[in-house]
Amino acid sequence: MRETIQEFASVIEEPYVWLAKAKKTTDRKVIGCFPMYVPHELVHAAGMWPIDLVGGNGEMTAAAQYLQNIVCYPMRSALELLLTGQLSALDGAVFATICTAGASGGEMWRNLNLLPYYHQLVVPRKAGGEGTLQYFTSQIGRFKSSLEAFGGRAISGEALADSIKLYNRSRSLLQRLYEVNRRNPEALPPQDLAVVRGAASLMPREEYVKLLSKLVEEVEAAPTSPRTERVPMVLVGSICDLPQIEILSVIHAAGGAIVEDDSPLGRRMLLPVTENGDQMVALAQRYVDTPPCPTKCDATLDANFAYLVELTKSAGAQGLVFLRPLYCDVLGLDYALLSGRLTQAGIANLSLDLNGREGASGQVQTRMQAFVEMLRR
Amino acid sequence: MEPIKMRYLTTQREKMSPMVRSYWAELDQANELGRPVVYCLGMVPQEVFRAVDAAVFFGENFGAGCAVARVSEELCDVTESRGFPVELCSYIRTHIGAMATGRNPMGKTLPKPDMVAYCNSRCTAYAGWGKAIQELFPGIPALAIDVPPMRDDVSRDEYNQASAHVQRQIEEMIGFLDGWKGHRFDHARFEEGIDNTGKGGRAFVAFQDTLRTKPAPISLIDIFIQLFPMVCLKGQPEVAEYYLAAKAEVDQRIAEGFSAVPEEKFRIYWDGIAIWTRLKTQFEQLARHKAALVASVYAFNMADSVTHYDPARPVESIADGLLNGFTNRGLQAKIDYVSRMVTDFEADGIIMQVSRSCKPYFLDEYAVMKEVVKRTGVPYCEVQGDMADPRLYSEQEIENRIDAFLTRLAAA
Repeated sequence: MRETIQEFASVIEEPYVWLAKAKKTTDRKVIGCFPMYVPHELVHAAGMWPIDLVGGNGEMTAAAQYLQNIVCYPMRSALELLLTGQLSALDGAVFATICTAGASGGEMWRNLNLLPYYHQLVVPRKAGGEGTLQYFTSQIGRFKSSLEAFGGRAISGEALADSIKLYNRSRSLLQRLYEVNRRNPEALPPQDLAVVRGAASLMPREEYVKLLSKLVEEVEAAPTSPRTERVPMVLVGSICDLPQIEILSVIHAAGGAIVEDDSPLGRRMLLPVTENGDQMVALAQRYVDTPPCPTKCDATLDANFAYLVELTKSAGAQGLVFLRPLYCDVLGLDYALLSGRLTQAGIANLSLDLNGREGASGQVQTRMQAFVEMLRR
Repeated sequence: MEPIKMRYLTTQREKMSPMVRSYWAELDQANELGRPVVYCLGMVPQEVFRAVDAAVFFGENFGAGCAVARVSEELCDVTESRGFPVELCSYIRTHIGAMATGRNPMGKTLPKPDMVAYCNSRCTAYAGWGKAIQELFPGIPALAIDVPPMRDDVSRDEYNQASAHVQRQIEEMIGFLDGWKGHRFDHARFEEGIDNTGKGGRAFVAFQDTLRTKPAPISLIDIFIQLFPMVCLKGQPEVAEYYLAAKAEVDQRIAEGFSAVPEEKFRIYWDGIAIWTRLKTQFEQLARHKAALVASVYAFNMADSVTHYDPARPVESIADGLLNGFTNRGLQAKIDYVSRMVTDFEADGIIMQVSRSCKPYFLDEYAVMKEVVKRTGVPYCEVQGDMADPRLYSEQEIENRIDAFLTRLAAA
């Protein structure tokens, strides 16, 4: 089991070094998709290799010519990687217009014209109503045509059906790992689960599913580890990037157990795509059906609050931890409001600010320890 | 040395000041009179709400007003003490603080809203702002218009799809209002409002275009101050009347050869939002260097989104305005727009003000300015500021940078 997890870890240690090497073994075009709402299934069905455009480490000097240091980390970091040639494995990029940064940042990529392919996927920032579904379906159709033009071949209904099945399979396997982590965090600590989840952002899905199936079997067959008394909690938020492994380790080390999460590339991404009916509508419907997201202007606070309370109660959690990315107004506003409401409702919560990948500072560790101790009392 | 004073327009004092007072008086009384109050944020079409005789409160103007009245800082503090991040838009922080405390330096009190309405064409933080208002005034509805961003290479088909998406939401909004709290949606009043907004926008453009004259008869600061009718009274007939009167006064100044900055030597294009806490200081500092502020993307682009308004196709007019608003456009469109302003208003220098809490303005400001400078050859300097939170910048640093820049311009 450890060896299998290590295989996933080797992918995300230095994602773009790994990617450049892995690309040599395939002639598939690699398409970087800005995290969250780009349907990878469509890229996959076009015979290409979709990855989540995750950030990198280190200084951001090249990007500073274009973006101020008060722009969110994922956007600055991705641009830095592009400008410094670290994304040489990419053949194209897709940006979804989920926020101001997503729309404007994507425009910079298009203007820089450093990659052979660029597409802006217009995502309606409204979930409800027949109009939204109709509009997003048309935008997914436009994305499909654009991929077909770039790939020089049509995306057949069969190919897309296969891709949707493959991605759904990967989601259901991940769901099983989540269950193990929830039941027994000693057997599969959150930081390990995050490694596995993070590798999904990069690996070709066929290989990922193969390795994931192996891991699920290993984990489920492993003898039950002795249980440690832990404080169950829900993790909400994160940056649009790989999971925050260091912070997850801090939570685990402090005696917390993440029994539910609502983070951008976490559990909310496990929602499957319907395998019957019109495929374009099914891809659009999945977006409409995702749990309330602060980027959607009609996702009311009532709905989001009810959703978090339900997550907390159904998982038997004692508290919530908000991971708030700096310079993200969308999450900054919602989390402050939700935190206030949860406190009023008697649900303990802690907000931690994330400045890119700065990781778990001493202050974060201390606050986390204090939070766990408080919940224990 | 005695500072060079700004000479404000008589029209502003005699006509706009009473308009401001009556706007706040109307809002002060609305709750008592049972008239619905709608908090409008961003470019949401106010004309729609006036068609049910609502009193319209405009969020951004409130933030700017509080900054001018020097209370925004303390209101931002209140908001931050409630757990909101300091880097959040200072208009939003100011407004949340005001709602929490009931403070309103412009009126007697802050009217209680019956509804909040916004659109996200400029900024995705509006959704959270709307939720914050609902949190402080529980039970009120929020109506939103989602506006897809428009890239430079958007096809006709794609534009039409986006326009249909926006128009459908405006129609839904109208449908909701018709019958809301027993009000009937007055279509004739709506069309009249659209007509008035179009006329108001065109009159504003004529007023702002007086700044093309050399020497500049007014300052950009005059334009900033006199944004009020256009942004707060959208849809009202007095908007066009006001700007035509203001323009007539400026025309008189031009005929007399009046120069807002004595012995004008440089013309400066200002990129970014006004720093509302230092309008007077800014004029005086630049005037010392014989530099006149003559144009800005902020303010100027607001009229552009409404000059085409046609009462014969009101909903489509609004959709076109929202989709083509400056901050909703692609990078090349922004570069073209700013370059054109710099050239048309014959700017000798550019001051790029980075409003540290306004993402829609600062996000691609570097990328835009890089190209504008390349294209126009006009030098620029950067200052880090903010529209309403003076804690986000250093007054001294702004002053030093502008002084150094203008000294360099003089030496060139």
